Amino acid sequence: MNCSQCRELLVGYIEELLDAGQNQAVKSHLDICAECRKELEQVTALQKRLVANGASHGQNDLENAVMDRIVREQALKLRKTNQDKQHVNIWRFIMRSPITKFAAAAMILIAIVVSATILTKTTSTASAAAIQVLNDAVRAVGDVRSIHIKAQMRTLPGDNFALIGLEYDFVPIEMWKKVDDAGIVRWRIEKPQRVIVTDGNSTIMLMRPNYAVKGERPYPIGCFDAWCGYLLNVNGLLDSAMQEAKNRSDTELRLRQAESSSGPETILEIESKATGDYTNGYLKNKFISDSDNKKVYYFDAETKLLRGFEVFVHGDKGDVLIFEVNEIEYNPQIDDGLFTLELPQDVIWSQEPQVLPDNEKYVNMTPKQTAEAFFKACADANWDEFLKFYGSSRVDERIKEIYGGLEIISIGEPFKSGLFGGWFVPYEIKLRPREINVRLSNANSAKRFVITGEYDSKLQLTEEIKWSNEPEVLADNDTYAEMSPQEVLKKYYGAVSILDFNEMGKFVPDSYVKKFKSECEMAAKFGMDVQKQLPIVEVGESSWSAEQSAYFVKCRESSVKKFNLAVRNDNSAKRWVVDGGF
Amino acid sequence: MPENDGFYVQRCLDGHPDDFRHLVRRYKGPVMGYLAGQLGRSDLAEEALQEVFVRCYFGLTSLEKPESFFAWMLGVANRVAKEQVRIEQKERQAAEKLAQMPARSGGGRDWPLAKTVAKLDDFSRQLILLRYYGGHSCKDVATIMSIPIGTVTKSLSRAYTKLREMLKDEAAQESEVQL
Repeated sequence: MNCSQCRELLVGYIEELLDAGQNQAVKSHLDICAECRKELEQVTALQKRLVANGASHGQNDLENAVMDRIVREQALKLRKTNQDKQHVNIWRFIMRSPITKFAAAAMILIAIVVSATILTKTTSTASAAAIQVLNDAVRAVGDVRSIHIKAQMRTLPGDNFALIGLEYDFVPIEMWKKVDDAGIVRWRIEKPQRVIVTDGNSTIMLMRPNYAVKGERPYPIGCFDAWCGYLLNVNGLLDSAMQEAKNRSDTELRLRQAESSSGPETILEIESKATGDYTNGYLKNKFISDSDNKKVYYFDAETKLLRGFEVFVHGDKGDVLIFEVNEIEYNPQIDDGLFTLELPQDVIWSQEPQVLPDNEKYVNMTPKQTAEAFFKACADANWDEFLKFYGSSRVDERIKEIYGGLEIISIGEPFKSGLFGGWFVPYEIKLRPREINVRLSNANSAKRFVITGEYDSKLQLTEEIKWSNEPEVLADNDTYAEMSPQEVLKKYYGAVSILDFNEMGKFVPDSYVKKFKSECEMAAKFGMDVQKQLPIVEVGESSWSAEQSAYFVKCRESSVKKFNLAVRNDNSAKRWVVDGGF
Repeated sequence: MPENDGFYVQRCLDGHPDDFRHLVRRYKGPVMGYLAGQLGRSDLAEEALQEVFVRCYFGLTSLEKPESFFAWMLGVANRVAKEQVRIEQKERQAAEKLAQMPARSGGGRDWPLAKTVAKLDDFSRQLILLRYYGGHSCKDVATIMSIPIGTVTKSLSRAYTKLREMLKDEAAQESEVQL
C-alpha cells in the first residue's frame, strides 16, 4: 500500500468501516510511514474538535419547542381562516381549497398522533398542547360557583349510572353542583329511576322506588358508579383526561379548531382503549371504561370553558354516540332544596358486609359455591341467610315473592370479564309458579277485551296498564270482539311466547309493547335467550268484578331465568357477596 | 434503519404532522452547527433554529424534491441567518452606543471551526454537519443522503483536507490582525 491509497482509506479506518484485510493493510502502512501517521493525527485532531463543537450544541428541548410553535401557529392560521370565512363549513372549505392534502392535514386539522415512547419520556407536543388547552379550561372554570348540565346517555333508566349499551335509547341525565362561600360542595345527579345527592355531609343514592345507598361522607362526584358525574367536577374531569394522555401508552390525542354556530371552539379528542381482560367479552362495551372509545371535549375558544362533551364507542358496526352533553350552564341560581333527598318511608338501605360470627365459612367459599348457597337461601325462603350474601337492611317483599321457593336447574363455571373485580357465575333457575290476576275490559269503542291491569294473588294491583288512546277497531275486529276474556288472554300469552309484538299490540297499548320489546332487546344484549326464558302462563277461570266493572282472570305464571350472577369479595369482611345479575 | 427524509416529508403531507419531529430530531444538531457558524453566537443561533424548522414545516408544500429536504433546509437556514444578522446588527449598533458589548464571542464554543464549516461547499458542509453536529454514523449519513457509504468516507476525507486548509488560512489572518 502506498501513501495515496492509505489516505483514501484513512477515514474508513478511523470510522472502523474497513474490512479486516484493508484494515490490516492500513495499519501496516501506518507502522512504517511517519507522514501518514502525521496525517492520521491531524485528521483525528480535527475530528475531536468537530465532535467537541458538535456536542456543545445541546438542544434537548428544541423538539418540543418547535412542535409547540407549529401547533400554535397552525391554530392561529386556522383561526384566521375561520375569521375570513365566517359561517363556512370547515370541511367544505377544505374540499375547495387548492392546497389539498397538506391543507387538510396540517392547516386545518391539527391531527397529532402521540406515540407511546414519546409520551413516557417527555411531555409530547400533542399532550403539551392538549394540556395547555386543559389548563386554560381549568383556569376558566376556577371562578365558577355553580354548574348545571343536561346530557343524554345510552343506558337503562333504572340501572347503573355507568352502564351503557350501544343499542339502548338515550336516557336523559341532569346534573347540578354548587360550591358555597365556605367551600362546601353539594351536587345532584339524576336519571329517570336513580338519583345521587350529596348535601355536603353525606352522599345518598336512591334507586327508585325504595332502595338506597348511603355514604357517610360527602363523596367525590362520580361515586357509586355515577361516571357521568365527573362532568360536574370539570377540573377533575380535565385532570383525568390529562393523566390519561400522559400515562396511557395507547391513547391518541387530536386537537383542532373549528367554527360552530356559537363561535370558534377548540376541540380535543382523546382515543382510549378498553383496559380489562376480555378473553370473555361479557362486559365489553357495557361500561365506557370497558370500551374502545373516543371522548370529544369542546372548549369555547374565547372563554376557554368546556362547552360540550361527547363519547363515542367504537362498536363492531361503527362508532356509536353513547353520551352527549346538550347544555352546560355556568353560575346558574340553584335552589338549595335540590341537594336534599326525600326518601320513601319503606326505604331499604344497602349495607356493607359485616364480619359474621361464622365469617370464615363465607370467606372460604368459591364463587360457584357462593351462587349455589345464595340460590339455596332463596329456594328455602331463608331470608336471614339471603342477607348474608345480599347487602341490604331487609329483603324487599317483591324479591321474596319472585325468588322465594325457586328451583335451581344448574350453576355453571364462573368466569371473569373486563374491569369487574369479581366473578360471573352462569345460572339457570326455575321460579316458583305464582298466581296473577289479570284485569280485562271491553268498555271501549272497539268493543273487544283488552288488558287494563295486573294484580297479585292477594288482588293487590301490581301494574296498571293505561290506555291513553282507545283500542283501535281492527280489520277483523269482530273475531276479537267475540272472544271471551280467557280466550283473549290465551291469544295474548301465545303472542308473547313467540315475541309477536304486532299481535300483542291488539291487547295492550303500544307503549307497553314498546317497553316489553326494549326489555327483551336488553336481555338479549346480556346474552339471555329471551324466548326460552319468557314465563309460561296457564290461563284459569274468570270472574266479574262489579266494583271494578271488569273481568278478572286467574293465571299461573312459571318461568325459567338463565343469567350470570355477579359475585365479589373485595369488602372489609372478605366475604363473597352478590353484586348483580339477579 | 432510519427512514429517509422523503418518507417523513410525505408523512407530514399525508396528515401526520407529528412526524416532522423525526426531521427536527435528525437535523437540529446540524442546523444548529450551521447557524452557530453563520451567526457566531449560540443564543442567536438557537432562536434562529426554531424559526428555521417552523418555516420549513409550513413550507413543505413548496418543497419540490422531498429527498433534498436537508439541502433545502440549509437554504432556509441561510436566509434566516442573514435576516437575523441584519436585525442583530441594528440592535448592536444601538446597544454599542450605550455600552461596549462584546462582539461575536462564539459563546465559548469553537467559533473559528463553526465559521469555517459554514463556509464549506454545500455537499461537504452537509456531510460534516450530519456527521458531527447531527451525531449520525457514516452509515446513517449514507442512508439519509441516499449515497453509497464509500462516497461518504471519500467525501469526508476531502472535506477534512479543505477544513484544515481553511483553518490554517483563518489562523494566519488572525495572527496578521494581531500583529
